[in-house]
Amino acid sequence: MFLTRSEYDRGVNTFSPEGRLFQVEYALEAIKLGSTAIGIETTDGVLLAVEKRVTSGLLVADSIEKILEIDHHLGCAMSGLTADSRTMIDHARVEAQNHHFTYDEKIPVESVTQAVCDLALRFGEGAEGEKSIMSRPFGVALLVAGCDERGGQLYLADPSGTYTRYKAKAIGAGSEGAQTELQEEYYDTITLAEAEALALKVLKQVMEEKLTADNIQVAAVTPSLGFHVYSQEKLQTVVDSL
Amino acid sequence: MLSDIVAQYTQDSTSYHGDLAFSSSNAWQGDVAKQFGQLSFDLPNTGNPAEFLHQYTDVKSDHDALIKLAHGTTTLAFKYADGVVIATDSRATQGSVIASQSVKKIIEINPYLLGTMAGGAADCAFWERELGRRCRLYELRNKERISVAAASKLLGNMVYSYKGMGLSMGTMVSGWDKTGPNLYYVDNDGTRLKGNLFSVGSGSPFAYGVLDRGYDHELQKEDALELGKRSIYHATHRDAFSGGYVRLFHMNEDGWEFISLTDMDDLHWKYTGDAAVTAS
Amino acid sequence: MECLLGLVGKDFAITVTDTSVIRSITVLKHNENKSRELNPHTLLAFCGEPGDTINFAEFIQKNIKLYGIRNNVELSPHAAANFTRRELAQALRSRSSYQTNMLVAGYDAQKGPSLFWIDYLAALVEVPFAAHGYCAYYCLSIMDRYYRKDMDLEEAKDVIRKCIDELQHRFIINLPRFVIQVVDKDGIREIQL
Repeated sequence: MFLTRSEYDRGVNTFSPEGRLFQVEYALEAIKLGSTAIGIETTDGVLLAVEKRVTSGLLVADSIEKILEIDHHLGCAMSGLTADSRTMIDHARVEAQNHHFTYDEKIPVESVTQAVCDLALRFGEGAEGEKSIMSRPFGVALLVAGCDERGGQLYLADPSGTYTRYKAKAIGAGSEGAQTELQEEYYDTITLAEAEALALKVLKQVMEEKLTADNIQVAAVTPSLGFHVYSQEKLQTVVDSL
Repeated sequence: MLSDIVAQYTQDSTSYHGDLAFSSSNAWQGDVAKQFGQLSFDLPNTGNPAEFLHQYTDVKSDHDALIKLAHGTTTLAFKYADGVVIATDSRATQGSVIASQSVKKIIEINPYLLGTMAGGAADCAFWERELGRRCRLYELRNKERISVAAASKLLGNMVYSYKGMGLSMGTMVSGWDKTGPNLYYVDNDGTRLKGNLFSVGSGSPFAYGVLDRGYDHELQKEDALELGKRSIYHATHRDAFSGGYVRLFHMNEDGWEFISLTDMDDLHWKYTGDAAVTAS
Repeated sequence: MECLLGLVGKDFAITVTDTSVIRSITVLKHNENKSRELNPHTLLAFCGEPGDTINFAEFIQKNIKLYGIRNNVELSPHAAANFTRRELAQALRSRSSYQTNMLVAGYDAQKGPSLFWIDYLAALVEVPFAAHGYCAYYCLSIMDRYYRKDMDLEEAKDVIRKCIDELQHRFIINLPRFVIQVVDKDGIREIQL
């Protein structure tokens, strides 16, 4: 096993005899090093919550941003090599605006996720007619949350270019424990307020540091307000009510 | 040697990226995101697409060309103490035919930017929509609203890169940013001017007449709106290619506000009624 | 229909630009500045095809500023004028040429003041005085008659006053306002006549 690995994990475009692309699999491993991010679909919107690793008292916590806006009705949370997400999110933003430009309607959540995934496999040597943009797979996974005609939706886009819809999903270092917890606690009629409590409870369990309003970031996408990141005050009240 | 020279003067004419001089088209190739953001048109596959298109485009509605542009307009915008007043008529003509009496010549680029439409309706609509797209991306990328100066420059540069290819657009971009109310004139030859008062279209000289005489920077909002409306009315009265309705908008600190849409016929009787009273 | 003048005095160069933007029969703007500062001691004044002028002038301005930042030494007026000419000439043979007439006025610590005349065909000449457009017909003869070498600022202003008076007296286009800029050892400044 070790031998075959060492031979077939160098080129990004070479399958191993067992039919595996090791570099892609390693990229998926990179996600597991990232900070924990949680997404929950609720009856009145989609919630995103992430932990911020504030490693030093000198670090300005506000400067860590792991939840970003894609458009008024779309947001995303990330885990892994967050620098890679810049390309993906900018691409998502451009796709969202292009869709609006061409069709005069909001881009569906699935389409924008699809667009992000289209980027994911464009590594290595470029195929005919399309330029390759990266020499390796992306090292980041995105939880894309949004509201469109089909209601609130949560998608996971990973470095293999696969996207899957989830009712609730956790990624990052604490994902295993968090996912088990979500599985037990999730129910179909969960409201946004209940999801806030659940997400923070789960984060609290998997985070190494003590959870405070400073080392997490929470955002929601609702049909009425669209994407919005929770203010420090709102976050504090949610944390206090735990 | 000769092939070098030939290569220098030959370009793939099917896709033209409107190179801007300062950043040659190669400059953004390193930045993936920009590639997706670039908009380019297919052009006729001839040596000189600009000349080819010019031949078939009816820019001034004075000859019978294959590509006809909807024309004839009165639009105006002026800046004063409390904001910007934007007013337009609503008529579109193709030659001597009134193609529509209900055109929306004020384009809502986003909640705090307005553009006006004069010249080719399609060109204005398209490029101001593209401007809206770019402004939104600017906002997402920089976490800050774009200034009116930057937005108008963006529009100016976009149309300048298609200079000579038959674009027809005379627009006023207005908005409210950190520096307060702002007004810019941008047209298809790439001109971009900052100013307090502009009027564009075939009826503009008539509108200027009334507007310049009544304009004062310290006007009350109500009077300013009335001045805008009245200037359009008088322009449509004398210009056969303008008419329909007066569409009136106001630019406030928190974005634009729709004021009114008034039938020119009602205005005519209202104003001539006024005249009859003052005359007697 | 635009007016663009310049002359070189004893220890300064001076440019005069009108401020009107005219489209068809309408004056769109009365207070447009038709010049750009290339570096602290070089000024580019321009007239010609709308759109092209500002685009080209700002392209030159940005590149010359960039040169100054990169090399920590500013281009001399002579070098700046020749760079401008070269860029214009290169564009002239391409699909997108710039129809822009220009004057480059500058002050060099060693060589003193200078003025360069550049037309849209990318001809460049260093001259003691120059004019572009229709106003050249009126103003060149005035400057031929009254220009002297080593004029001081007051004498130069006097010649410019004569030019502007004549334009307002004979020229069909109404040019009510002008921007007059001086480049000397202290840099660029706007003056009143």
